[in-house]
Amino acid sequence: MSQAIVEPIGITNLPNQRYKIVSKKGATFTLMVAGESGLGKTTFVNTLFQTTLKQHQEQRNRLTKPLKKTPEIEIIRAELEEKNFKLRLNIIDTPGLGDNINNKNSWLPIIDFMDDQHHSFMKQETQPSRLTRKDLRVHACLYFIRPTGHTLKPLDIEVMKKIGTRANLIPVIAKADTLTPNEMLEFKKRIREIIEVQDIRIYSPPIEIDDQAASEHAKQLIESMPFAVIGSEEEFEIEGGLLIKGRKYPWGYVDVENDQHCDFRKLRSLLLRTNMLDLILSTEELHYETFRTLKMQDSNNINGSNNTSNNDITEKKIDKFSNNPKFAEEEKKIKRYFAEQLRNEDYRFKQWKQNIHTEKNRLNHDLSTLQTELKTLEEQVKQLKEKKGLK
Amino acid sequence: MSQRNSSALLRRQKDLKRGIRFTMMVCGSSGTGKTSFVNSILDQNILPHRFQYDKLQSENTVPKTITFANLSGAVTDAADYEKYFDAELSSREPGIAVTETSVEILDEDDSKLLLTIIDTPGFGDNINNEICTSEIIHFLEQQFDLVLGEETRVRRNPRFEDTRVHVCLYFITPTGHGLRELDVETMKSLSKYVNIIPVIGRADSFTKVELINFKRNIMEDIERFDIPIFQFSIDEDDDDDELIEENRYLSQLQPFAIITSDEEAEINGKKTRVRRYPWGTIDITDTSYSDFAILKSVLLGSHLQDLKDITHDFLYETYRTEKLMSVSELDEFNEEGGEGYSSRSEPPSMSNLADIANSKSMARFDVYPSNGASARKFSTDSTASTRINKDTDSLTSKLNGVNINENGNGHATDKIPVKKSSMLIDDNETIASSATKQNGSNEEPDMLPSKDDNYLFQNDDELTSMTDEKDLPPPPTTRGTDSSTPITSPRIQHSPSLSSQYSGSPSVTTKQLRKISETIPYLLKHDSLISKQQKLEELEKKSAIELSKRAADLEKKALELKLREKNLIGASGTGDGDIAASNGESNGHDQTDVTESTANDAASYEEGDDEYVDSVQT
Repeated sequence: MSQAIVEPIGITNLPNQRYKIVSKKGATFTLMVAGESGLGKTTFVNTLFQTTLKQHQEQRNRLTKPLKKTPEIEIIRAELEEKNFKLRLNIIDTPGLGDNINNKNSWLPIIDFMDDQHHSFMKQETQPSRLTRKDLRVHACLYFIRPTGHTLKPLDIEVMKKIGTRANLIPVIAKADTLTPNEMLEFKKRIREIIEVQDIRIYSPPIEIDDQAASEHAKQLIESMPFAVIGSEEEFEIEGGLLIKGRKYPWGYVDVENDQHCDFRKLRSLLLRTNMLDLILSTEELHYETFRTLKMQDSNNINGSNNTSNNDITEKKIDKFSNNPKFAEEEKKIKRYFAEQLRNEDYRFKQWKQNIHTEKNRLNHDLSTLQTELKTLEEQVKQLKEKKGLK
Repeated sequence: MSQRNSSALLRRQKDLKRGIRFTMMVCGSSGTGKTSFVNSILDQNILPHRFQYDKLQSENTVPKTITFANLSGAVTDAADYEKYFDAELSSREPGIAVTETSVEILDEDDSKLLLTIIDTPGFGDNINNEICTSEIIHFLEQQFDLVLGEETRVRRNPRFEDTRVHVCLYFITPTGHGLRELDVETMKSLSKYVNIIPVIGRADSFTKVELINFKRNIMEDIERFDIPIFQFSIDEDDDDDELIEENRYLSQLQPFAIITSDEEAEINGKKTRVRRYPWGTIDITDTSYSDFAILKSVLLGSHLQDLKDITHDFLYETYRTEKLMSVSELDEFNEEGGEGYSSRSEPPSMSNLADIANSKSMARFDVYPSNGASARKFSTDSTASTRINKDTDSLTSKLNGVNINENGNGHATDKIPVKKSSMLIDDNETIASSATKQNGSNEEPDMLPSKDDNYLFQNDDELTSMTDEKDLPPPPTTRGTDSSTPITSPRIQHSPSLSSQYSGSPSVTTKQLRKISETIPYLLKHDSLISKQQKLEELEKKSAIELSKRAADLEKKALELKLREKNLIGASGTGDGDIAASNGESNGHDQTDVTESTANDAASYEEGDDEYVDSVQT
C-alpha cells in the first residue's frame, strides 16, 4: 500500500519504534494514599483500578489489635495490563495516621519512607550495575481530607507540607457524598486558601500553550482541586438497565462517575489518562533532583569540612530518635517508673512522719509526769516550810 | 414532653412553672455534626457554625467561653478561632475550649425548658489531643464541686443554678471502622461525671449495610474497652410493658445514627429539615435511616428526668462520697503530719529553752491569758480586747481587719455561683485553691518541712479560721470553749490533772476538725481546715514552749526550794525523816491551804509574766 505513494525515508517511524520499546517495557507507577483511617482510601484505590487490589482490613483482626497504633507502611504490588500494555503498580498505604490521641510526629514513618526511597535509588545509581534498579519513589501522593466542611486540621497541614516537598501531592476530599454542593464549595474554597497561605506545594498539571484542548482540560483540573471523591466497589443497576458504580442510599443513588456528584473522573484522568507521564517525570526531575542535590551537597560538605556537618548529622539523628513515636513510648515507660518510685518514697516519708508523731506523744507524756513530780516536790517543800514556820 | 412518666406528674407541674433546667454537652471531633444537631433538635438555627458567625440572627446565642486551654499558646481564644476563618492560623493547634449557650424552649403546653448547651470547640483538632479530655473533665468536676459547695453551706443561695451536665452526646467520627483511641479515652473518663450517649453524626455517609457494620463495631469496642455508656435500663419488675419494650428498642438502637441539617423544607406538607444532594433529598426525621427523631424524644422527652436523676443520684453521689472521703483521709494525714512537725521542731529538752524564749511567739502567747481571760470574747467581740495593754492594741487592729476580711469572705462565698464563670477561667487545680484565693491565705495544702522552723505566730491565719468558725451551727458557747482549750490550758497547767488534758488535746482537735468538715461549705472547707490546723499547730507549739518554760521555772524554783529546804534543815538540824513526817501532817491540812498556795503560786507566775511582757516591750 505504501509503495503507491512516494516512499519517505522513514524517520517519522522513530516515534513508533520508541512506542514499541516503551510498550514492551511497560511502566512503573507508584501511588501513595495518605490520610486518617476511615476516609475510604482502600475503597478509592479499588475504585480507581476497578479491581480489588487491596483487601479491606479484616474486621476480626481489629479486635485483637491494640488501640494505640503507630503508622505503618503497607506496599501492594500489582501488574495491570490494558491492551497489551503492562503497568507495574505500587500502592503504598499508610494506615494509622492520625488515629491516636497524640499524633505528634506520627507522620515521620511516611516521610522517612519517602526519603528512604530517594536515598536507595540514588545509591543504586552509583552502583556499577544498575540494570536491576528497584524504584519505589512515590510518583503521586493522594492526601485524603476528612469532609468536615470546616477547615483543615493542623495535623493535615503539617503532613501535607512535609509531603509536598517530597512528592507530587494531590489533596483529595474523601467521602464527598456527605457534603451538600454548597458546603462542598465553601470547604474547597477554604482549603485552597489554606494551601496558598500556608505555602503547601501541591501538584498542578502543566498547561501546554500550543494545545488548546489539553490546556483547557488542565485548567479545569486545577480549578477543581482539591478533588472531591467518592469510592465504591459495588455496582448496581439503575432505571434504564444501566450498570453504575456507586453507592445506594435510601434517598438516592450516588454515581461515582457522575461529574455532578464528584470529581472522581477528573482525578482518574489526572492520575492515569493525561498526566501520568508528567507525574513520573516531575518526580524524576523535580523531587528526586532536589533530594539528590541536597544529598550531594551534604556529602561534599562532609568531605570538605568534617566538623560542622558531622554535628548536623548527629543532630539530625538525635532529632530522629527523640521525635520517633516508638522511642516516645519508651520514654513514657521510664517516666512512669520514675513516678512510681516517687510515690513509694512519699509513702515512706508518710510512715516516717507517723513515727515521729508517736515519739512526740511519748515525750509529751514524759513531760507531764515530770511536772507532776515537780508539783509533789514543791508541795513537800511547802509543807516543810510550813512545818518550819510552825516550829 | 408529653411522654414523661405519669408518676412524676405532681413534681412535673411544679417544675413546669419554674421551667425545667437541662444541660446537654456535645462533644466530638469537629465536623461530626454537633452544631447541626443542636440546631436541629431546637428546630431553630441557634448555634453558629464554624466560621459562619456572621450568619447568626441574634447576638445572644453566641456561645460564651467558660474555659480555654491551649498547649502551644498559639491561639488565645478558641472561640475566636472558631468565629473567623483565618488560613494563617489554621496550621496552629486550636487548643480546647468549653463554651455554653443557654436557650429557652417553650413547649406546646407552655412548659418551659431551660436548655444549656455545652460545646467543646477544638476537641480532636489538635495534633496532640491529650489536653482535650482533661480539660472537659476539669469542667465537669467544677460543676459538681459547685453543687457540693452549695449543699454544704449553712445558708443556701435560693437562686443557685445547678450547672451540672446531665448528658453528654459523644459524636463518633464516622470512619466505618470502629472507635479510635481518642473516642475510647474520652468516653471512658467522662463517664465518671456524666451520662454518655454515643452518637454517630453524619450517618448519611453510610449505606445501610455499612451502618449496621459500623454500629456493631462500635458496640463491640464499647464492650471490649468497658465503656460505661448510658443504659436504657430494662427493669423486668416494672409493670409498664410499653416502657420495657421502648427501652429494649432504644438499647438495641444504640449508638444512635443521626442525620442533621440546618436547612428547613417542607415534605408532604410537613415542616422538617432536609439535606439536599444532587442524588436525592434526606428528611432527617425519617426514622428508617436517621435516628434523629428518636434521639430527640429521648433527650427532651422520655428520658430527660431519667438523665437528671442518674446525674444527681448516682454520678454526683459517687463523686461526693469520693471527694468527702478523700478529704477526711487528708485530715487524718495532715494531723499526723502536723503533730510530727511540732515534735520535731521543739524537743522538750530544757536546753532549748533560751532559743525558744527568744522567739517572738512567747510575747504573743503571754498576752492571751490576760486578754480578758477568755478566748471566747476574743473570737466574738473584738472590742473587748481594747482595754488591754499596748501590745494587744495592735492585735485589736488586726482583729478588726480580719473581721472586715471575714465580711469580705462572706460576700465572696455568696457570689460563688454567680461569679462561677469568671472563677472557672482560672486554672485552679482544685476547689481548694479557689477558696485559697478568697481567704487570702498563701499556704500550700502540702506541708513543707521548711515550716518547721517557723515559730512566728500566723496572726491572720489564726484569726480567719477563728472567724470562720462563726459559720458553725453549734452554739457559740461550746465553740468558744472548744477553741479556747489550747489557749487557756497553759494557764491552768500548774494543776497536774489539767496538764494531762493538754497532752490529750490531739483528740480534741480531731473532733473539732471532723465537726467542721461536716458543716462549713466545702469550697472553704479544705482551705480553712488547713489554716485551722496550722493555727492549732502553732498553738500547740506555743503551749509546748510555754510548758517547757514553766517546767524549767518549776525546776528552778524547786531547786531554790530545795536549797532553802536544805538551809532550813541545816538550821533546824532535823533529818529526812522529819520531811516524811511533815508530809503525813500536811495530809491532814485543810484543803483551803492548798488552794491558797496554788493561788499564790499563780500570782507569782503572773508577776513573772508581766515582767516578761515588759521586757519584751522595752
